Amino acid sequence: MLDSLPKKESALHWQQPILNALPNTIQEAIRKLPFTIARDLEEIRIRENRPLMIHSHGRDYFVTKDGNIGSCAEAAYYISADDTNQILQLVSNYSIYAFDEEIRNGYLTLRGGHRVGMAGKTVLENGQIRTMKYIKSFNFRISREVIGAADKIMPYLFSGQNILHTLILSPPQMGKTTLLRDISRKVSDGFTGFQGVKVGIVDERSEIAGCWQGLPQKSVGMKTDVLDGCPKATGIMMMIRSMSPRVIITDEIGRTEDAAAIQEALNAGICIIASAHASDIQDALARPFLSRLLESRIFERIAVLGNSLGVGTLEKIYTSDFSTQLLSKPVR
Amino acid sequence: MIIKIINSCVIILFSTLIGLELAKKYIVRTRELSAIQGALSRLETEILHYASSLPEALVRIGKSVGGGTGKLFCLTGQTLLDKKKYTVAETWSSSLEQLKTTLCLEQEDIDILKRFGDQLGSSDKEGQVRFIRLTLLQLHEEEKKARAIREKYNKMYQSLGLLGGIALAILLL
Repeated sequence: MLDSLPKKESALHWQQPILNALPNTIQEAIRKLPFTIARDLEEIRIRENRPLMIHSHGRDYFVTKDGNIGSCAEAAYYISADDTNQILQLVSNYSIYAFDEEIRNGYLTLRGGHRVGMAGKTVLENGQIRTMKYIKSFNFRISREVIGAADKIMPYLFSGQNILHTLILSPPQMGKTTLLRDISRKVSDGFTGFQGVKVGIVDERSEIAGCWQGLPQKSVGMKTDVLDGCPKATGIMMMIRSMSPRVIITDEIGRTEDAAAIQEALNAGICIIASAHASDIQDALARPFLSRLLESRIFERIAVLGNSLGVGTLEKIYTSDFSTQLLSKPVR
Repeated sequence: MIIKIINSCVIILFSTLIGLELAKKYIVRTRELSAIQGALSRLETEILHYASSLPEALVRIGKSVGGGTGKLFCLTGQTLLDKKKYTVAETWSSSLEQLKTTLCLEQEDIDILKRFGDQLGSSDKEGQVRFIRLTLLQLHEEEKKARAIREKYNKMYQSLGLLGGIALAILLL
């Protein structure tokens, strides 16, 4: 019993920043969730006039006022207009005006690196989103770091002391950001047989380092600098010029200008570790941008994530000509 | 006879004081109205140029402004910082109610400030600046009116107090 207490607390340490951003009624319900559900909680979904829902253990549950979960929508707590109104004020620390850019992008980051996604009515001006009003849906995404997530992949990313250019392909929610973060920590801090080098993270969507007011909320390594909220292409250039990293880590490349920035980094002798949305190498080759990038043979390792052995399974690792596969079977 | 004279003096003194007290209300009101305008201008700068968070900005401004207005800003900011989970509008209007008497404001001033509180913190930068400017304009009008009233009643209450006291004293003599 004595043993389990601190464990229990550390498993629930995500709670405070998120509970602070919820109205009292919802806060109570979330606080009373069964321990196993709370421990593995991934999302809290809030939609006005609809039942409170959570996502845990890979499925959705309705939540009652007392934190009981079930699949019956009638018994669930229904979100009121006051609730959504209050949440918007709480997540922005009563200062919505200070989050113009974040609201335009549809999400903001809480202390602890948790993301709050928002949906409402967008207000356009000359075809560009100026702001969003009537924000009625919130998605609290609990972000957890999995120290050691990169243990399995690390041996494949090196050739001697050199780090190889790596692209991680993965469908959404398969742990590619978690993996990138742990790779960053390892490459930056070093490990037995590797000293550790300077790492620059270009974190366009504040997901890798989960910065809150400029400070990484996740362990991304001692020698790591983070450019938070910066567009990837611009960010890569800025990093090269200002912070002299040996490795640049960024996620979800996919725009044409990203390729030019990556090329620039290669010319500067900087190693790139990036991720992209794709379920497999065939899927990636079918996309115009990714196929061009892959065919230019820039990336020396291409890792594919999946869930054949659970979320974050390392399915395949290819070499640059993606004909040879280094893994004999999926590992996790 | 001496007792009568002392009595009259006391009566005159008190009625003069009552007159001054009644007149003070008008002075305080104009003073607070102009203090609130100053504080709102500073809030505009905080929002527009520093994007400071609202509770901190309110406390900071409140501390430097002082007086009833300072109390209003500090109380609102502090309540929000304490994370009791009320909305800004609720917090602002309850602070206003609490400090109504200290501020010596009229109902129309309170109404303007309450309407302002409903919007405080709850829109983008442009929206905030627009509301602050609008509120400033309305408060400026109120201040003008308050000054005119002050001119009229301030002197009146002061002399009324003194003269009323003398009249009462004469009647009682």
